[in-house]
Amino acid sequence: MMKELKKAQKILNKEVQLYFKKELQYRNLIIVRTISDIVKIVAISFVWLMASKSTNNISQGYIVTYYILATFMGRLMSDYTVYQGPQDIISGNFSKFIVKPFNYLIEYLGVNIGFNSIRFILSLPAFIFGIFLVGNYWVLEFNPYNIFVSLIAIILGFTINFLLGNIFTLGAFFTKQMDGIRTFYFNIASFFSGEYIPLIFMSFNMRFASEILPFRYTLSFPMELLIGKIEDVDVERGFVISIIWIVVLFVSYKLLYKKSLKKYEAEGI
Amino acid sequence: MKQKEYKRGIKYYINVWRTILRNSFKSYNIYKLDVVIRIMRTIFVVVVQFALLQVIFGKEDAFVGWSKDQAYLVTGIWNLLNYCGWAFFGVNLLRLDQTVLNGNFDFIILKPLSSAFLASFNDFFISNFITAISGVILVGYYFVVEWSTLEIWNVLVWVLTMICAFVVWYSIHLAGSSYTLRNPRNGYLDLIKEVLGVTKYPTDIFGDSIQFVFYTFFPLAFLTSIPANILIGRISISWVLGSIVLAIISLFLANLLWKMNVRYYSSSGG
Repeated sequence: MMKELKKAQKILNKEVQLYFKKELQYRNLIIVRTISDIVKIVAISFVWLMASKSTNNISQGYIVTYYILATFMGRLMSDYTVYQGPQDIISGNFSKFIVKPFNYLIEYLGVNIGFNSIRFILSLPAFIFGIFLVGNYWVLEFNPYNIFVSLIAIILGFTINFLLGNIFTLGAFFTKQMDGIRTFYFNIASFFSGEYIPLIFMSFNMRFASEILPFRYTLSFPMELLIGKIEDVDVERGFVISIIWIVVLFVSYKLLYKKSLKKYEAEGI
Repeated sequence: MKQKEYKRGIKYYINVWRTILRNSFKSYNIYKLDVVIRIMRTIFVVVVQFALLQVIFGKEDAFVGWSKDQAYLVTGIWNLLNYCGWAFFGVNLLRLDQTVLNGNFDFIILKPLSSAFLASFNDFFISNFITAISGVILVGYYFVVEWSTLEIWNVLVWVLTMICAFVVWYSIHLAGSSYTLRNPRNGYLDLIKEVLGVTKYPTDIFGDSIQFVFYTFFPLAFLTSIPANILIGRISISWVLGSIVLAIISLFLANLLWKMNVRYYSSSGG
C-alpha cells in the first residue's frame, strides 16, 4: 500500500513538473494573464465600490473584500478536467490512459495542481493591486486560525471540484457534444458557489439549497472562513457536509466510471 | 509568408457564409440536446443578471445615474454583442491558436478568399447565438417598459450604433487574434475578454477621468454606454457619427494588423 502511494506521489510530482515546463514555454501568456487579472479586479472593485456608495445598504468593506478574494481564491480550487477530460474521450485520446500502468486521475490531478499553482501565482500582483485600490474598504485581517481552517476548506473544496469535474467528464462517454452542457454546468456551479452573487444576498430557500449542494464548499465556504464572518456551528456543519460530499462523489465516480467505460468507442484508432 | 490578395465581391462572401451557416445547422441537428441546454442556459443567464442588478441597486432606484430599466438595457446590449460575437467569430478566432500550432492555418491561406474572413467566420455557433436571446429579452424588457417614451428616430439610430458597436467588437477580436499568427498562445483574447467585460456596466461607474479615456483614447463607451444613451435619448445623435467613424477606423486597422501579422506566420506541424 505504502509502495503504491509512493509511486503515485512520484508520478504526480512528475506531472506537475511537466505542466510547469509546458506552461513556462509561453512567457508572453504569463504576462498577459497577469494583466487580465488586474483588469478583472479593477472592474470588480469599481462596480462594488460604487454599488456600496450609492445604495448604502451593503457593508462596503465586506462586499469589496469578498469579490477580490473570490477572484483570487477561486484560482486555488478550480478544476481543469472539465475542459480536457471530455476532449480526451471524444477524440479517442483517452485510450492512452487505459493502457498506462497507473490511474489516469493522477495525471489529471497533476495537471490541475500545476494549472492552479501557476494561475494562483499569476493572480498575486492583481490581488495586491486590488487591496491597494480599495484601500480602507479592505476588511480582511490575516488571523492565523482563520487562515488555517480556510486552508483545510480549500483542500476539501478543490477535492470536491476535482471529483465533480471528473464525474462531469464521464458524460462524454454518452454524448459527443459537451460544450453546452459544460457551460451550463459552470453557470450553475458558479451561481451556487457564490461567485456571481455572495450567498448572504440570496433568499432563505436559495441559501439553504446552496448549503446542501456541494458548490458552496468550492468557493464561498473557504472565503467565509477566511473573512471570519461565520458562526462556530456553521464552521463544523460546513466541514461535515464537505466530507460527506467527498465520500458521496468518490463512490458515485467509481460506480459511474465502470458503467461509462463500457460505452467508450475509442475514436481515431 | 505574404498572402496573395484575392479580389472577391461581397456577394461571393455572402454565398460562402450562407454555405457555412447551412453546414452549421446540419451539424447542430445531430446535437439537439445541446440546443435544449443552451435554451435553459439563456433563461438562467437572464435570471442571474437580473438578480445581480437587484443586488447592485439594493433598495435604491438609481445607480450612478442609471435607473434599473436602463441598467438592464446596458446589460442586454452587452449580451447581444458578446454572445453574437461568440456565435459569428469569437470561437473561430479563439481556436486559431490550435489551427496555427498544428499547421492547419496553411489551408486557410491557400483558399481563394480573404484569410481574415475565413479564419473569423469558418463556422457558426448556433448554441452561442441562442444565448444571445438573453440580450433580446433584456433589451425587449426596456422597450416594453419605456414604450411610451421611445422615439422612432432614436430607435433607428440605435440600430445603426449597434451595428457599429458590433463592427468595433469584431475589429478588436481580429486585431488581438492576428498576433496568434506571429506568436501562438499569447493570451491576448483572454485579455480582450476581460477588457470587454468592463463594458457590461455603464462607464459612469469609473469616475470622470477614466470615463474620459473611455470616450476618447480607448473608446469602450461606444460599445454599450453610447448605444444605450442614444436609445434613452440622453445624448445628441451626433455621437452616431463618432460610432461610424470609429467602426471604419477600427476595421481598417484590424485588417492592416492582420495582413502585417500574416507575413510573420510560419507553418508548423505537418
